[in-house]
Amino acid sequence: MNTPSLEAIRDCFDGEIPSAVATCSTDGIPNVSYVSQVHYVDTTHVALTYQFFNKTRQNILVNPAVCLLVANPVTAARYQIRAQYLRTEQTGPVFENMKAKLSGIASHTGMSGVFRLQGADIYRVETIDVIVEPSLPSPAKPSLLTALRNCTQAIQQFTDLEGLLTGALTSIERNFGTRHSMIHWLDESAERLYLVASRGYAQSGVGSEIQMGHGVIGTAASARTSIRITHATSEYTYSRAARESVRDTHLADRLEAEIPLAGLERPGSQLAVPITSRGQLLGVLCLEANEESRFGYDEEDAMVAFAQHLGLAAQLLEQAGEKQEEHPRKASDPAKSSSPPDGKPLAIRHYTMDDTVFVDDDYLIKGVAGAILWKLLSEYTAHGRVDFTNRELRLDAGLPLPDLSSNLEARLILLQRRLTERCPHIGIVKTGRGRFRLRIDRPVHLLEVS
Amino acid sequence: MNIPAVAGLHKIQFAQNNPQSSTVNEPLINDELAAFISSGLSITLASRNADNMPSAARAKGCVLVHGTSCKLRVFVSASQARQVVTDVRANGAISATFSVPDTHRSMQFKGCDAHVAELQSGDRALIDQYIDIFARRVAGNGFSPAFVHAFFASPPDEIAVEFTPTDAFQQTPGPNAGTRL
Repeated sequence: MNTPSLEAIRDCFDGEIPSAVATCSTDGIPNVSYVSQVHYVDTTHVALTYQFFNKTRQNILVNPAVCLLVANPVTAARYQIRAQYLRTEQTGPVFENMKAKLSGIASHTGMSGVFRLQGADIYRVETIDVIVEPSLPSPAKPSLLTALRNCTQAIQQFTDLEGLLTGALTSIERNFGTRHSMIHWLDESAERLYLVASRGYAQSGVGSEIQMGHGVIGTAASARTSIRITHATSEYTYSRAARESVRDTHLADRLEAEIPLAGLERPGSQLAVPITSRGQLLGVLCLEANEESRFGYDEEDAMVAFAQHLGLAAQLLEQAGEKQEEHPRKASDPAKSSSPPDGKPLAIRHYTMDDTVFVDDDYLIKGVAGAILWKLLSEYTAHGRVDFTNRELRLDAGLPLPDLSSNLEARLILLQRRLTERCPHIGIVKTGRGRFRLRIDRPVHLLEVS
Repeated sequence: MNIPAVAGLHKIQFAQNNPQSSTVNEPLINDELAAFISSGLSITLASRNADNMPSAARAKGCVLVHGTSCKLRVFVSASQARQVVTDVRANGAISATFSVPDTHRSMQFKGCDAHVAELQSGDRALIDQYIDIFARRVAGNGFSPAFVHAFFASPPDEIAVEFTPTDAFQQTPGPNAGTRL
């Protein structure tokens, strides 16, 4: 019989058919039990969940040899894996990934309270044997490599971050067929992520926030690992995690929680992937589907590759943008391109403590984006200026901007989207790379509240 | 074949755990448990070699054999269960876990007198019957009868592994897994 590679049989690991694990005590008594998931770690390692100090665990601590039986839920192929227990991990990417997945399986099987991950037991795979050859055909799937190639190619055309992020979600739908997706960007504080782009939801959710470590998105960010959930779980849904993460926080954060959320109410499958550039976390790409088991290991690999490409593209855009901003073109005359504001004045209130901005009595935005809007409106009312550059914002000592300049651009996207959704009388229009214009079609009345 | 309610296992476990309702000489496998283990459950056998290296194999059905002692007779494909068969022949150590496919309620029996026996007349019919019942049990989870038959496919080399269970353990996933019955 031939010997398949571990990655060739990892579709057996998601728990559709429980795997069996056999161990043996030092006095020669065998033990066999079923496990809900086997986790593919790399080409030579798997991990099993450690939930309770049961016989399997007692045995592996004294006799590390195990025999695993796994089965493919589509082809009906069955395999035997011989492996050696190496160690238990209680933090880190493998642990977080298994914890999230287990939570999904637990809620799927009605055992949420029972299934809590205590550790990820790591095993070195020694042999793989085919017990039953695949006999049923797998449904023909479109090539993921082709889809990935098309996606990476499609995002090369974009010249700004907004186009890049929106375009990425569009090309994911077009090439991978995933209709529901969103991108969160890392906050300057590195404690939160905020939604900058979404596709396929009733509410855009732009500006809604999630704490590091909460839900699939927050966990993918804090553990810097992709999180793939094959069964519905209330614990990790975006909406619940987002709501919980703002409990007991500042008023401004609670206001942020009023922003209608994106995210499926009961996603069957979720895949959250960190967007990184040279090891630095920029944000998280999250895909959702109503049906269960929508994303497998191969889809996860493809999205991890795409998210890394996206991260590099975002960083390259930012560097290119900075260079162009060094030589700004002469701004056009504002009077030529905009008509004077007309109608009932908008009362804009700015709370200096946390840069919260209200338009009339409605909450609009807070934090860096709030501070940026306040600066723009102050310049406008004092000097009649409407044309601005990213560069001057970045150099403005009064704005609490971080080193990472992609954050400025992401904040501007956020501000632009929130204005479109909540205050269409004020707009931000891009006039070139690193330049934009403030569009105001109602008089504004500014009130500073300390 | 009568399929007992899944709750049957609960009842047995409760009786075994409640000192007032258990009798001193109660056999390890009573009628209700006998019906339970013959009800199309997922069955896996494990043994080990002289170095305590474990081996495992999926079974294709099980019946209770009444004789001087109560034994379990579990069917496997000799080629698919090659290592388990070798180990059982060498030392007789055995463990068998029975699990309800749709609820994961499980129990494990252990013994040390396992031996390998040829199929008897009627055993093949029991194997076919087992696969049919199993297919009905997992139909609700989206597995077709064609899938289940492909899953249990083997050369016609089935044999029986027989043993006297000397220990039984609750194996349902959870904090009580491993509790001796």
